[in-house]
Amino acid sequence: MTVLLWGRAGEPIVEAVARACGRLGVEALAVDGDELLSVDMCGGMALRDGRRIDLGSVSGVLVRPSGRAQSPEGLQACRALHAWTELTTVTVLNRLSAASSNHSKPYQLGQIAESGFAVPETLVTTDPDDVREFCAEYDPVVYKSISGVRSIVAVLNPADEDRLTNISTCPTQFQQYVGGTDHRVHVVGGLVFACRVDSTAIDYRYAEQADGLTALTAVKLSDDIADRCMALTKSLSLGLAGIDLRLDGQGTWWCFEVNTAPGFTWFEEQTGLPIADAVAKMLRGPR
Amino acid sequence: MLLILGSAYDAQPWRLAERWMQAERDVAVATPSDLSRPGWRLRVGRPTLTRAAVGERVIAGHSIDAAINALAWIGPHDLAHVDSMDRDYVAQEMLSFLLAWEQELRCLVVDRPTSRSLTGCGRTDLEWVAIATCVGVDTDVSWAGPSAAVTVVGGSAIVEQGSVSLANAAEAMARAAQRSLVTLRFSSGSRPVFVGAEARPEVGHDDVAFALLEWLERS
Repeated sequence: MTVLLWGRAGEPIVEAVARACGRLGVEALAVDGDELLSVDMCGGMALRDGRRIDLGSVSGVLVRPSGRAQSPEGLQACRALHAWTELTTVTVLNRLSAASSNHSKPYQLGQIAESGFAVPETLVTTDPDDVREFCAEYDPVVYKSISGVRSIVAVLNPADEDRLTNISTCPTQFQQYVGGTDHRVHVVGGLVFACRVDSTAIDYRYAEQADGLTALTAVKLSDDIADRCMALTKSLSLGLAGIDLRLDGQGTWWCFEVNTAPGFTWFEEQTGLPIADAVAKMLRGPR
Repeated sequence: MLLILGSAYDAQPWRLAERWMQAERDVAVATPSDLSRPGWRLRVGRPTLTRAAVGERVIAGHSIDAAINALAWIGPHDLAHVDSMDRDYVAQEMLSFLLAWEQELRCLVVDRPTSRSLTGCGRTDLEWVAIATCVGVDTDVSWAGPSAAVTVVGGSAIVEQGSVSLANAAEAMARAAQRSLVTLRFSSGSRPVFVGAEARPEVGHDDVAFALLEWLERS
């Protein structure tokens, strides 16, 4: 059996899972869209270098954004491979139909709210007056992109008042700021890997850019919270998820987002949590 | 009030609105450029605060009786009023907004949007082929010859008289795909052969427009 790593060779996640497959003695094949010549859903994949892969021999697929194609042949083959990943019964981490839920943060937040986690009050609007009312109720307020486009979360300041009229051009997302300690939880099937994030920045991913510091520490979640993370992952039809949680001073767990193609290597390197091994085992399937 | 979401460059939603206005219904067509008007509001988990801004109208979410998506996605071409450097980003933001905004509507939303398409489906041709195969309909998505569009509204195919096999094939596929409103294409011939699905339903034809109105008012 072969584990298909649909992503660019050299990308950290692809490399980490390939190495983990090697440790398990499982063959892993990394392929990006532009290496594909054609995909026959009933047969196999033809690669530009002449190799053919029988899709029937694939035990699991890791789908990475870096696997996207640019060439016309690659785009066509990727469409066929996407269709196959939607229809196959083998493990796919994650199917596009499920992974695209975080292309809209407020859409996903609505789904998260049903999982039992607290979610921050969220406003998306084209009306500056709505923002002023929201700020009056929930100060401080942060703003960030609505779509999956990465944006740096920033606090709305009085100095931003002059720019508020700009939101009439495009709906803009504002959110109640919730203080507390960030936790990043990776769920891989039935396994939960959690770490605490201590950071000097509002958005810990960009702490270094603001001359700040971020430290990651592996932690064990209570069974209740771990179960909630697994249930949330399952409810979003995901097998692999990176869940952004924050624990406030009153002991409430808030959930902000579920990353459906999580870049977990940074967390793994800092904490030693064996996330790539768990992904490889899941893609290999039961023995 | 009936809300139709459509592109300014697509005649279908406007024809639908025209037919419904002729039937004396209150109708508004929201296009991507309307999302650049003050008044749109979404509060996650607070549907009573949902609001739209269409033309000169600001519409409370609770006054919308039904929403119909004749817009599969928003592209930069829909946003001529936005600086060309920003169009891709704004298109993604608007698309993501509409996806979430429509979830908060408590009225009937025909084929509620999913993260793959505002029309609620977003299946690739190959996924449609799998559905067709499951319900016993022949397929040929490489077909480049003449084809007939069949729109299914609430389980019933709108086809010319005498095309029973075409109607049966389209209805079976729509049912298997759990679509209330979908336009499927079949090649001409004695047996229905599925050749593709429209990204958004063709709602502008008289018979489809009135069947849809009747179905909405019955639902």
